[in-house]
Amino acid sequence: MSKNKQISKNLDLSEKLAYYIAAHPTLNTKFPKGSAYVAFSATDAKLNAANKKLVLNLNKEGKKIIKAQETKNENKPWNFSFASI
Amino acid sequence: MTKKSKRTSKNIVRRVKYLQKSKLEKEIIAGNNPIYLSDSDRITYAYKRNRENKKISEVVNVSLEIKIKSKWLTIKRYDSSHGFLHRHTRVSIGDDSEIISVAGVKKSGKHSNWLTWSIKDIKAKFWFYKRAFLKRSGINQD
Repeated sequence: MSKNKQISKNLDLSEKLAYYIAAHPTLNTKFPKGSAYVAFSATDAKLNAANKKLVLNLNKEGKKIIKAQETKNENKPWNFSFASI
Repeated sequence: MTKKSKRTSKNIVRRVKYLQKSKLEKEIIAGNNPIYLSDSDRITYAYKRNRENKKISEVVNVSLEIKIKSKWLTIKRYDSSHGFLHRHTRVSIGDDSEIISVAGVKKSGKHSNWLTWSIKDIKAKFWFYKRAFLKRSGINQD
């Protein structure tokens, strides 16, 4: 997957994630300061493979990454976990 | 008889600090963790929400950041810190001054509408904002 395609697809996902974050103000209190999100799609395996590489690179840089996994469950559309090497 | 405090500048500064502190305690900053789009592009959303009525009381930062030569630069940013939504645009890589503007920015509505609008704007115009910034910086993307 090209970098531009990855960015375009992640823009769509990030918008959905942003609305979820806006609706759940206590979410960021669960994670340490300085951590960042990488979103994973519920349906797009190619994007997820590209984002997995992104997480590995960010981890190598010492970034604390939260994996935001989109789900197909309307009641719980996102699952959050720490992504480590 | 009650003792009235003097309106000295020291007392006013103390009062302003007290008001600022009490206001901050009523609000919670949410978001503020960037979302990575690639290893050199990310978006950050942060807003203040009132602890009591749960309403969004300020757009703190909706920004688009790109990494150039190992440095993260905020190239476009929205906030509503002065009671209205406005846009900050970094001039170029070499010039970190910002152009502050309300042109084309949503004026009606409340802070929650402004947050939604700025999220949509950054998403919709991501490529345009990035290309324009790189062009201003003298970098040809082709």
